[in-house]
Amino acid sequence: MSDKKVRHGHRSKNGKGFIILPIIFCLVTYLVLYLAFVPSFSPIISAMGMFFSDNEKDYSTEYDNIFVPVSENATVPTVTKKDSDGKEKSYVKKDSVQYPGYGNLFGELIISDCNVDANLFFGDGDVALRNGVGIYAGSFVPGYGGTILVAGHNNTYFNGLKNAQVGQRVEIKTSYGNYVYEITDTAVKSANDSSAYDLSADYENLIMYTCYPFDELGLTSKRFFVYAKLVSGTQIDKGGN
Amino acid sequence: MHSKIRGIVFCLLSFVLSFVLLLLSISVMLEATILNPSYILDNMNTTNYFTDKKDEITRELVDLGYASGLEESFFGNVVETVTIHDDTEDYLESYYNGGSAKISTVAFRQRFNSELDSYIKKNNVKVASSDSREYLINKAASVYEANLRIPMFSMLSPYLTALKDMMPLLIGGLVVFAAILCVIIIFANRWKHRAVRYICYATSGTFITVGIIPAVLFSTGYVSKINIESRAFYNLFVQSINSVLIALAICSAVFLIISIGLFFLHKNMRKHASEE
Repeated sequence: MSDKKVRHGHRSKNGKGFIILPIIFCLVTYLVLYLAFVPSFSPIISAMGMFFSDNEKDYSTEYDNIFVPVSENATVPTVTKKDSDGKEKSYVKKDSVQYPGYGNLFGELIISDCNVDANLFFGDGDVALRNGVGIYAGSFVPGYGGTILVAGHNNTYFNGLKNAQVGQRVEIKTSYGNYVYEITDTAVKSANDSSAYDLSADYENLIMYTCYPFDELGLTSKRFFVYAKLVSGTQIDKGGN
Repeated sequence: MHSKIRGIVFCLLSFVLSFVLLLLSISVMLEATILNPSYILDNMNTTNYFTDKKDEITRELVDLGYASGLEESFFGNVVETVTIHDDTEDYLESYYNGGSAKISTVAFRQRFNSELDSYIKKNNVKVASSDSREYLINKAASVYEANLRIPMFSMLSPYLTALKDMMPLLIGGLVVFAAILCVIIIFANRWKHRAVRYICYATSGTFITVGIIPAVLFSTGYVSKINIESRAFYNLFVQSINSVLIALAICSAVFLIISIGLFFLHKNMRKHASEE
């Protein structure tokens, strides 16, 4: 009798086997699956990583607002440097500039004579054009010394561009300074006409465009361009001498 | 030495049984969820998908309206939840039947056209040209179609269809294989309580293997961190995956109950065997 007890009980002392063996089974199962499927699934698993972020997506806000207007009396930190002609010139300190990310609201565009007053976004996606006007992400921010290409809908924020005339002033307000431009020209061109703008220009210029004709129904292939030159505003220090 | 080898062999059989039960659990779970045509539709209803989609499509159409001269109020009645529901149902049905899965925009186009006619008459608006009107309607229809298309679904559908066809055979095969393994374990053991013990190892192993997936994913909240631009798709995805994980957790719980039952059966049988 006691001999049988030993024979029946020796394999599962204190019932440890009921815990250890299932855990071993689990580990071996995943090892087998890993060895069997990882070679073929690893690219998919790596790609999956791109679809996940660290936090849950926030659907409550459409865009980030980083625009803090510079008041009339306030001063923006500047540095003095010599320009290419050897003259001393003030630049906005690069540390004090918060460059906008795509889709950020970072300024305001005003053309008083045309009754245009719109939020200025970086990027010209749907959210930007729904809430204001947007700078094409392949162009430059005001003060950087390049072409600023701004888009807006002709039935909303840029409807007033139909009244644009040479000599009118365009104001752009940002958190790092205010900039004033003067309209130099207007033109109607094809939407596909890349000669309508020069994104490689080495001087600051503002180009605003919208669909044309105004106040008509339907999607059109023509665009109304307004060209402006910089009148005043402190340039951003890009580093170097 | 002989009994040691015997023990190892039965442990291996037990492991194979555990593996087969895992595959069976996953197959049954897939059959009940992802491969079930009404599963996605049920989750769509649960997550308010059609209303969310209506809002998203309307918002995108309003953007189109800004670019084409249509007021925001125009789009209030253009998109209907019923149309979205019907078109989505046809689209899913077509996928599960291995069809081309085209999204019909006929009803949407008709509605858009008639609303546009009324708008033009009412507001006496000048239309830029008939081409631009046609372009606008096509653009609106493509916005509607793109919004209804489920991401990655077209890529996965051939696999889903193939899997759906072979699933009854696979489940049947796995059930038979599991039964054969149980019979071998039972009849190859002189002491039946030992057979119960090996089967208990297998079910306990399956309980842990199956249960670890929902446990890890629920505790880390990994699923809810997916980046999907559309809120409707996000809710649908999270709800669908959570349902799958709950199904796995239930499966795991079933194996836990079976394991506990087998454990007490084993104890009881062993006691009786010792007393003989």
